[in-house]
Amino acid sequence: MTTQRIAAQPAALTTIGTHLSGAAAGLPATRYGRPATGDGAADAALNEFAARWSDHLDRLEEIIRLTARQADLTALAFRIVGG
Amino acid sequence: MMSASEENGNRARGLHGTVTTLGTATAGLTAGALVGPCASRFLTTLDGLRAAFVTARTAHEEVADALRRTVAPIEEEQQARARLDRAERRLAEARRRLAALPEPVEPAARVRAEHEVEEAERDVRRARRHHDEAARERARALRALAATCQGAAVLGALPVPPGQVLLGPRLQDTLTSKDMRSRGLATAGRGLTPQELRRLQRNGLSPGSPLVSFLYGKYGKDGSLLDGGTRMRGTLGELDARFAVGRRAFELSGGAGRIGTRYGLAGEAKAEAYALSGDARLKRKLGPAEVTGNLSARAAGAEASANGEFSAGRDGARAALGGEAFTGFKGGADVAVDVGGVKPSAGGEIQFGAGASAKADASFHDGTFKLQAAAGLAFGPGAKLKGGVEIDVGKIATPAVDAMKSIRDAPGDLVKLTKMFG
Repeated sequence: MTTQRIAAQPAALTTIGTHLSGAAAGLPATRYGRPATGDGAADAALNEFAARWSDHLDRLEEIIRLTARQADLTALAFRIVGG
Repeated sequence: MMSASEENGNRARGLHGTVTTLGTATAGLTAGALVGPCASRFLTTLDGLRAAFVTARTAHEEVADALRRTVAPIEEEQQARARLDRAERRLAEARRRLAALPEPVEPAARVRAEHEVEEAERDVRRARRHHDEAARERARALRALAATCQGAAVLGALPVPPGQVLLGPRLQDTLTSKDMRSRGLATAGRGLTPQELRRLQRNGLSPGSPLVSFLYGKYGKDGSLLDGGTRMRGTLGELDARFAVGRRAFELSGGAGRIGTRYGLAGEAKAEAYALSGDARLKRKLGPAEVTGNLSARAAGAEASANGEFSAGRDGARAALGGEAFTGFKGGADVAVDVGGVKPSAGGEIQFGAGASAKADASFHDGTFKLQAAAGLAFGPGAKLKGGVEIDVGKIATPAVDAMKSIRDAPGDLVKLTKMFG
């Protein structure tokens, strides 16, 4: 059978899950201040930058949390079947 | 501006911390925390996340720098504006004093007042020039800030999560298949269907869609002293034949919760040991029909099995119950014909030994309805009969739908023809 070798170290995988959860928890707040430069175009560009990154960072945080959960569940699966 | 710059700088430092943590997680993964195709998917996700956070860090650093670069020009312009205001107030004062000189005007006083006005006018001109220059510099810095923000607001694609790599049938199958054969020989994928093999080769242990069983277990062993097989294609059709000497196998499996794409209960137990066993399968197309024939023979051995499943899901349901016990010799054949989505099958076995079997299986999955039943009895000589039918509802419905469409479109086609020839 040509299936690739499958193996895991559940403890190391759990640590990775913990790292990822920590990374998600340590992300900077996605509420940005609204500085005024006195120039309409610059203010609009700054607001656009803040709004887009705020949404994007929220989604990235969600993906990190999901990946952390999947790492934990994979570790659990391998722990059950014996690594 | 300075506080906004500091806010973005702090954010960039926070994002740098995330990049470092993701790097640590990636290093742990590549060091062997997970090996296999599922590891590649985790690595792809982590690499994607890392790249996304590097982009985020860079974007916030650039905006923080751009904001910092606007601080000096804005302050400079504000100071120049204040200087210009002061100079203009002084000029207005000097002009008022000149106009308010008492009559008759003393020549020396007039010269002094006029000189003050000239001085004030020179100051205003100088302050205005300076202010214009500062305003241009401020506008240039703000344009640069806007351009930086626009460039930094270009976001990359979101990375795809690795997908669930959970406890499920595929994981158990492969782990079990590692020691399916005795004497340490490779299994060559025996015991797995071609579809299962393709899925394993494509996805590794983890299936494309999560198979989360509330409870699932499977254990089995499969071995023989000598076995072999052949596959050939000829004028008669496609032949697949296998034989085994001293074959023995057992398997226990059961689950509750999610079973494939359905939910329910399933259990199966089977064990067999035969001195000789052989199977041959012939597939041939005859006009629109596809005929499949199976021949099987078992000699000097025994087997026992029991299975049951009751499950239902969005795309189908299945109810199956069966059991068999037999010892002796047996040989059988069955035939199936597939014509336009309807596939009836029938088969029989001639047995010599002792045993009894009964099985009923009804399911509906992905638009295919399947019904199978079998019963057998042997005490000395004996026999087993089996039959079933598969109906692919989609395949049957397609010609009917086409016919309905033709009828529906007929008036339109008639109008077109009339226009063409009329």
